[in-house]
Formats: sequence, C-alpha cells, structure tokens
Amino acid sequence: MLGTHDCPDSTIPEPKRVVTTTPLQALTLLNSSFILDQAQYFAERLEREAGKNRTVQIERAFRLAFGRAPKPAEAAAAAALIGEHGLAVFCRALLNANEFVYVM
Amino acid sequence: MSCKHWLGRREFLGEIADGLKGVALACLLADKKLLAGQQPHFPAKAKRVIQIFCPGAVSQIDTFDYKPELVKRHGQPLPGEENFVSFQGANGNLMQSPWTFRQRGQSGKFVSDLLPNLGELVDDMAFIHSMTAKSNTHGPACCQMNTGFVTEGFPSAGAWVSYALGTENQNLPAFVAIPDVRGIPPSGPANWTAGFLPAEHQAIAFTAQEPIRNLDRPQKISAQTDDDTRGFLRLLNKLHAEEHPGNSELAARVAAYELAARMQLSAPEAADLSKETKTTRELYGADDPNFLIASYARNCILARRLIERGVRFIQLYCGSRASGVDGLLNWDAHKTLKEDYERHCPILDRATAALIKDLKTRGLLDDTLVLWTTEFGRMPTHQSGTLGRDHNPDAFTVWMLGAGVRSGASYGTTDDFGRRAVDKAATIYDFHATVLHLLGLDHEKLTYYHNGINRRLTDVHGSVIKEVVKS
Repeated sequence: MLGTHDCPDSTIPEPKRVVTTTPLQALTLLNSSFILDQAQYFAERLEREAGKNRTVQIERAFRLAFGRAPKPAEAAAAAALIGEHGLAVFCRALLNANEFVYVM
Repeated sequence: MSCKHWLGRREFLGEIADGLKGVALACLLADKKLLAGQQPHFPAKAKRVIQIFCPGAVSQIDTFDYKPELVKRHGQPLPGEENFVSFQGANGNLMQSPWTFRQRGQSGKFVSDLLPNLGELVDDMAFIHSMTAKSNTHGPACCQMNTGFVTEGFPSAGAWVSYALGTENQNLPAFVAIPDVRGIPPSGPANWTAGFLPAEHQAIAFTAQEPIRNLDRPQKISAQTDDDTRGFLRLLNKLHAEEHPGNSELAARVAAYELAARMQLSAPEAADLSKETKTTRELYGADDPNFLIASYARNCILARRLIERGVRFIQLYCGSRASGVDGLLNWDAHKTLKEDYERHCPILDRATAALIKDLKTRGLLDDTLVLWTTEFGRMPTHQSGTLGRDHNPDAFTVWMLGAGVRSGASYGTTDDFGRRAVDKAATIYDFHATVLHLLGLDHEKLTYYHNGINRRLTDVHGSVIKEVVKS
C-alpha cells in the first residue's frame, strides 16, 4: 500500500518525497484488501452514526470524507449506487475520489 | 498560439471574475499538448527504445575497452597520478583485467571473456568509449544518465519520449521501468520520474517476478458492481475537476484510473511468460537454476513482450542499489572485482544477447533502439589494500544497437590505461541528443516551458554524435 504511494527507503533521509501518480496506485486503492476492509468499516460507521435512512447516510458520508454536503447530482447517483450494490461499495468509491485523496 | 476555447460575449463577460483564470490555464495546457504533438520532428529511424542500465558503474576496462598497455604495465603506478585519491580513497598501482580479451565477429573488436554472448554481437553495435560524467557518486550520476541532470526531479529520457511521441498502445503505459529483482537502483524512482512534465509521463515500474499487484478485481466484487462504482467515481471526479480547472495532477489521476482499467485487461496477457516457447525460454535462460540469471532473463522476455505491444520506452535494470557490501548487488566492485563480475556478467550476458537476437528474429530490431548504459566507469588502478577498482567519471563505455545505428562504429578513445577520454570526449548530453535524433526528435526543439525556462533533456548542451548514426 505504502510502496505504491512513494514510501521512501527508511534507511535513507528524504527531505522531499518524490511524488508520483500512477495506475498502480489506482489499482491499489481500488482492489487491495486493505481498502476493501476500510470501505466495510466506513459503511458500518455510517450505519451507526446515521441510522438506516439512506439520505442521512449519504450526507454523513460526504461530511466525513469531503467535509461538505453532497451536490444534488452526487446524492442522486450515490442513492442509486447504494440501492444497487450496498453501502460498502459506495464507501469504496469515496475512498478513491480525487477529493478524498488530495487536499486542495 | 491560438486558443481553442471560444466563449460567447455574454459568457465571457460573466466569467471574467472566476472563469478566466481557469480558461487561460486550460488553454495553456491544451497548447502545450499541441506543442508536443505525437509526430517526430523529422522521419524517425527508431520508434521504441530499450535502455539496459547496469547500476554501480561497470568497469570499462574489464568489459569493452581493451587496454594492452595495462597488461604490460601491471603493477606499476599510474603515470602522472601516482598518489591519486579517488572516491573511496587512495589508489594502488595499475591492475590489469583479470580476464582475457578476445577479438570477436567480423570487425575483430576486442571484448572481455566475461561477455562471450554479447561479444558475438559486436558487429551490430556502435560503441562510445569516451563517455564522461559530471559526478563520481552513484545517486547523482544515475540521475544524470537517466534524466540529464545530477539533481533529482528532472524528467527521465523516457518521460521526454513519452511526452514527445505518446504511446502506440492505449492499453499499456508508454514508459515502463523494470527494476532488478535485487532492488531498485540508486536514486530509485527519480530515474524514471516525469519531473515537471505532466505526471502521466512517468514510468510504471513492474517486473516479471512481481506481476502487478492488485491487478485483479476483488473476488467478492462483480464486474457490474465495478463498472457502476467507476461510473460514480467518474462523476465525483468530474464535478470536482470543474471546481479546479486546469489542474494536471487531478487530470493525471483520472487518467491513471482509466489506464488502470485498460491495464486490467491487457497487462496480464503482456506479463504472461508461460506463453513463451521452450526454445525461447532456453535462449534467455528463463529457467536457469541460478535465481538471479533466471529473474533477469524473465525481465528481458517481459521487455520484448512490452516492445511487441507498443510500449515506447523501457528501462531494464541489471543490478540494484548498493547494499552494505560493495559490489554484491550491483557493479560497484570496489574490493573484489573478480568475484563480483563473475557473479554479475553471466546474469547480464546471456539474457541481453538473447533479447537482441530475439528482437532481430522477430523483425523488431528494424525500428527498436537498444542502449547499454551505466553511470560512470572505473579506475585502471586497484584501490589501496583491495583487488577492486574505484569510481572513474572521466572515462566509460556505452553502446547502441538497432534502428538507425551505424553497425561496427566506435566513437572516441581513452588513454593507454582507460583512465581518461582523450579523443572525442563525449557527454551524456551528446548521448541523449543522439538517442532523440534516432527517434526523429531535435533535442533543441523538444522543449517544455517550466519556471521561466524552455526546458530540454539536454539542458543547453549536447550534439548529435553523427559517427554512430547510420547515414
């Protein structure tokens, strides 16, 4: 996980990390068992904190992941995704979004 | 340059406050893409490159630069530099190569007995014996050979080529780095970074030993679920990008996901060596009982398969970063030259020669350029108290072979002992200018505007070495 995200060699000082953007990172964040587990934990957290109401769950998820409310288009698409494939799948997508990965 | 994004007057006035900055930036980036283009500046001889890199600094004196005077004066001090202190310390006397040099091919070029298989191919090679480097330290010197600069952060030659020419296969990266099974080279990913070029031009690093991790969709996630997830992700990223127009990092990340999706389909096939015939596997040594020989052999086969599938530029490493023991994992034979090179040369020799022969048989050598490189050379003297050689950036050998290369050429010479380039000393800038030339690119015209400078792979230096180019 860290290896694909430019973790430096721990025996050597690295004052400024080389930053890369690669498909290998995309594959790690999409398919690694670590991320799948985290998506599951995220989904369980949403159920705990937002109950069973889907709209509230989506709102809570965006607040946690992006620090904001979802746009109408996003909320609608999220609801459709959750309806079809479940909360954990929706959470997996959030963990992969540019807005989650980058601090702008 | 003209801007492709036209606004109606009302939109234009309405957007002045917020939109203009983004529009201008988007324009600038679009123009940069136009500047690069996908076409070479003039007809290319080579369409693709395999660069073999041996980190640790291969001794020219023990491989390709035959010095009979060194044999005669073995045990005598190096004239004019009797008390020379090089990278690791004081030097002893001149030390002849522990191996015999023999004449090879039609040309009769002398090559060390360490490299019999590569020796058979000398007639096709163009040697540069007078190469020089700016640094005598591995990290900076590896950077210079691969990026043209001794400091990290500059685009690799492969990134420049990806930027200039793009990829021939949309389903694979344009630029791939294949590190040695023993580990990454000195300076690691800085050797294949995109630097200030758009992030998509960096190499993807993978080997035959470590198939790309996480390539497969997780078992509990169906293809439909995956598709729908990506669709949702695309929407999130699209809306996010609209708030940050012209951000190349975000765009690169989106592109990385798209490429990852295509690679999930194409990469398993490309990296599947089981499809190779027994004859081919034996030619390379893919099943040799020596794990290191077999590993490098498999990486060579992988390189050929990637070339066949249109990857533009491959860095293929034979040797890794230094370990605690000099010369153990790479070519840095400070102490025990004989043991070290008798370990490393069999790994390099057979599979590299097999790769070249295989490319030739498949007709790929007609438009593929093969480069053999290292970061600097070694001293003709032994180090004081050891039977190894210290660093020498003032003389080393590199060679080229394949598309557009003048077979049997030999450019530049070193002095009687291989200590310094004395005739037609060449720089890494010259080397890169020549590589770009063979790809149909003018090294002075391939530029990228960054921090107030029109940047080049060759900085403000370099000339094409015409003597190694087929006329």
